[in-house]
Amino acid sequence: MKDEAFYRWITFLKKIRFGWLAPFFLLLKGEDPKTQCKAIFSGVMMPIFSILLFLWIWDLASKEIVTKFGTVPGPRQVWSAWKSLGNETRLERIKALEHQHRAREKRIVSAKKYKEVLNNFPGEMPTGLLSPGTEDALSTSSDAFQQANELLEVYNKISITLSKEEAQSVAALFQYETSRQYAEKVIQQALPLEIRHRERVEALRMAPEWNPSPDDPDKVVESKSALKKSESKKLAREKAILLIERQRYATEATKAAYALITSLPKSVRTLLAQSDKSASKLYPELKAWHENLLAEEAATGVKYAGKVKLKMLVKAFEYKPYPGKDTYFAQIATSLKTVFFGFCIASLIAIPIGIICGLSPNMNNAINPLIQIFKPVSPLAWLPIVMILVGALYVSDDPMFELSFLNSAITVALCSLWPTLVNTSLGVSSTDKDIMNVAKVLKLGWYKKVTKVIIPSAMPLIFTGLRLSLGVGWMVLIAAEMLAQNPGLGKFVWDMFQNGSSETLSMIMVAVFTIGIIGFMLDTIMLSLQELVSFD
Amino acid sequence: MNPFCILSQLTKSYPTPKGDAVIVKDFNLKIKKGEFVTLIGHSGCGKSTVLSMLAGLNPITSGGIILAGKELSGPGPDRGVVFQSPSLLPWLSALDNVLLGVNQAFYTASRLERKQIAEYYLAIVGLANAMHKKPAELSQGMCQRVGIARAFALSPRMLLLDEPFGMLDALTRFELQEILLRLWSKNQITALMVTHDVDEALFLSDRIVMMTNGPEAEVGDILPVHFERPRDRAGILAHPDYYDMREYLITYLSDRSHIKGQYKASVENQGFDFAALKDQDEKCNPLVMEGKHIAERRNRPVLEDTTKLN
Amino acid sequence: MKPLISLEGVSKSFGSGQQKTNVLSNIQLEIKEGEFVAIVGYSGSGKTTLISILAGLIHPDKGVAMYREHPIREPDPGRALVFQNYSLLPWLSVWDNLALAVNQVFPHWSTSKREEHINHYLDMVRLTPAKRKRPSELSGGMRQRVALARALAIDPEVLLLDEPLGALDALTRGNLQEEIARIWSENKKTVVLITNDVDEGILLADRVIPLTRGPEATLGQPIHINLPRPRNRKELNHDASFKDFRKRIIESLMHEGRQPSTTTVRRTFVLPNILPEDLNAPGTFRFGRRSPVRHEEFKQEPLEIEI
Repeated sequence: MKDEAFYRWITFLKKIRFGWLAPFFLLLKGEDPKTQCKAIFSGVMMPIFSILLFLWIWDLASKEIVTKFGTVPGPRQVWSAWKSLGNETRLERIKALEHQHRAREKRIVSAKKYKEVLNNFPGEMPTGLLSPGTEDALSTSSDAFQQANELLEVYNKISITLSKEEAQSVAALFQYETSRQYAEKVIQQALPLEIRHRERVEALRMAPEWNPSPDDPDKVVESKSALKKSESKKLAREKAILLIERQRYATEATKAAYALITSLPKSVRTLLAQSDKSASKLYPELKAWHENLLAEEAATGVKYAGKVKLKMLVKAFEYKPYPGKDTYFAQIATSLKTVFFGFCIASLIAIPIGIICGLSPNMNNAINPLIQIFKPVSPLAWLPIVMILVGALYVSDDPMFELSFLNSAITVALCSLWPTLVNTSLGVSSTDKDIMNVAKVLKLGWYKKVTKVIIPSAMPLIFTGLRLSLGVGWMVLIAAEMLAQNPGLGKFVWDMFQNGSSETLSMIMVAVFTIGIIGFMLDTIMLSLQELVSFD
Repeated sequence: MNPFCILSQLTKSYPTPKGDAVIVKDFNLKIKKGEFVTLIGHSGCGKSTVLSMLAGLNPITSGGIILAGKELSGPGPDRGVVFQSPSLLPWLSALDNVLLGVNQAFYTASRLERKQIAEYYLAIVGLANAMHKKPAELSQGMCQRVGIARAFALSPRMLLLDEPFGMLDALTRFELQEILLRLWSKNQITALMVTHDVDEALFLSDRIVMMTNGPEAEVGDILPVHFERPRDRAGILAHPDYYDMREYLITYLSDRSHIKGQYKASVENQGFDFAALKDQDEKCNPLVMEGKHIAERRNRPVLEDTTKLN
Repeated sequence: MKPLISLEGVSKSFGSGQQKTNVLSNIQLEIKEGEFVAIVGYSGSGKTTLISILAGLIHPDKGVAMYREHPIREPDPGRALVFQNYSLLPWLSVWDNLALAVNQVFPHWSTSKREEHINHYLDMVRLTPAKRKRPSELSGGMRQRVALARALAIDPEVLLLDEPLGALDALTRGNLQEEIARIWSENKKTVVLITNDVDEGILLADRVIPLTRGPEATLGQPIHINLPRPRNRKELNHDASFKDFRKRIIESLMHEGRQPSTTTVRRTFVLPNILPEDLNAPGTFRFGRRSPVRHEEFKQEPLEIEI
């Protein structure tokens, strides 16, 4: 039985395009090594070989083409750009941690400092003077009082747990000290390279060939331009190497800093996270408490002595998220969210309509022209309409979704609707005639016929449609994001194109590979789902 | 005794721009209760059309069918159909495929009893170990066994078999014929089978109805098969009349199937005594009654208006 | 006389490890020149594997397949193969389909000789009127004739027919069987016919060999069909030896190779004594929950189940 499951798993792998893994499993299982090695050669070695060949040709070709941004990035530059994106993300994480740490410190300090407010509240205020409403409010806020005290305990505990040195070293880390040291090292190491590069540029400028001689200006200009061309190519290559070097050092620096930060004991980290969480929960209650008090003061004219301290305390507990910029990975996440949302909208519309179309030839004939007309429309044409319509219809003070997000999601939905719709209707209408006869003979009712016979038999085609839809959606998304300025991969590409730094091309290449790999993964996931619902 | 199933003046035609294309014309046949009748003829002669009209899957152009004293209209699980392709729902296991029909016909019974019915018939066709397999995991012969179990599990009044073994190879066919016969002999449901396999027809049926070639196909000849039941293949192959009957059928199919209106004339000109065979046929096949209750339950108001059909 | 083709102790299995299935085991076969041999067996019993070994498309794991006393290593125009699914090139006309094969095998012939050759074989299968048609315009029987003509046109020494008539209806099959018998009597090639139709085997072959049920299928006792030729289907019906051959082949197929099951268990299946509802009756209240109607009979059947 166990073997059967194993071979089912192998067949499944093959179906979802991971068949190249199968020979390894089969080897482990002890099957004929010769056959498996052959399979590994053709399934693993050949693709690797072709990828290497591609990289080699790319590398050679890239060195020869110079654009206004420098040489066309080769695989090495693109890899370095990918690393710099990772590095950027790491830096953002460090900064966010630093931000959290500062907030935490502030809370610990103010909690200690204004402890008496919590302990004595509302001691200084004669109860008789308060209106019944306020007394109620204060009695309910005694919960908050309780919690604030508990929290204070937690913070005290933390400061005890972390001994003075430890706290200091952590603080030092959060101060970004280590990474700064590394950054200095980077500059030191990359400096000679850069200096040499400058010297070369200077030497070239001073070279006699660069200055026209009065005897034969034409000849000199000719040789100059030829020289300039070859020299500029050389310089561009040097610069590319320099950039890669610099990137390597920078990555090393942040990696080390990040490693130090994340080396905090896990118990401490969870404790810190818990306290942060309860502090953020506490904030609205403290705030309400403070506002009540202000209102009471205004109504009764009785001044509360600890007012300022309370205000400071409230302020200390205010939770402000780190206002960092979107990292590359955050943008990928946004893109995925957008495409998934758009895909869900598309499926929710397309599957029911497809089923209706498939069931009734009349409906199919009615809807078919619309499908045929709208199907070939490009996302670029939909987007302005969507933007205007969504802008007009989706007006809310506290919008659940960003406008740009909705725009691109709806554009994705509009473009990825059709494959699902067409395939669903085809799947439903092409239910095997014999099977329909069976349903007739058994006198299945309409509902039973649709749910037990028609939809299950259409399932494989529905999923084929969904897979195509998701593919189309992912393609459309990039264009939509570029135009809608919705944070995401499309916008990333656009921004990179706009800012025109020396890394522009490599960054865009990174985006291209990311888009391709994610598209492949989405397709594989859908393919697996499709395999799960197919019957053979 | 009244025939259990009467096909009267049955005609099927499709309108075409050049006038109606008549597939079957004035097809008359009476089937006794518990009788196994086979329609034999060349492909395209309209034998499947007759069967699908009886199943209610194909509307009748003119004429009518009376089953158990009531005129038929539309399909229903009172006629179990075994199709040429097994037509199983590929996403359901063998058991669920049978249960789909059982749930429908026995919707008042408890879940347990319905499952018992499905399991019983699957076990009898030899699939007790494969009940939970999906059709894709079963061989074609096994799929057709499920198809047979599904038809029998409905406890139908009549069983309709549309070239049930046509897609199987000759040897798997033998096995399934035996299974069909074993199952059929348990409760002798009135059956009508369509086939073009002469041996199959001889092995299974009580009467073989030969059809003329289409268009305008009609009954060409009828051959009663008097082999005693229970039958076994070796015994039938060894029967002295077997090869005579086989030759009679083959001769009909190759030489006479294009001649219309021959049925009455042909009876006298046989190599062996058909009148005697017919008498014997009547004696050998006493109509087996289904349970008294079934008869009571099913004999709902008899259709009076038989004049219309004549 | 030395046999033209011989198989000695041939075994073949597919898959490896746990999934390994032994399709054929210990096949012994000798075919003389000019002989018509029919191998009859169940579908899935390894008939196609056997003929592929004869054609040289696959190689046996054990034993040797010899052709003219040389081991069979690869396909060879001397042994033409006709498949059940015709395998004609759909974009070529009947004539071009034949021409493709003929040009390949006889490149040194003159164009007119080749044309004459093709026409001869088209005529032999009576397809001259249809020679400019594409396969899609032909019926199944006609397509199989084209495939047959193509196989014959390359003038093979051995004709391997893999269920050539399996996909045809009974009438066409009968006609083509007669055609094959006629063509064989005209040029007396060595023919190996794979079929699942016992009558077809008896009608055409000199020797019918049953292939037992797979896995581990092996050849049963050959039956020499010494009926005079030409054989007539209808007349054969009266022939006592025909009946005898038929009975022997069917019996050997039905009973040989049926492996005794390892264990049998008796299980009892219960058929509840309930009657079906009449869903065609007018006014049946589908949602009304009532109990089913029962009869007195209550079936309990013990069945033996193999595990």
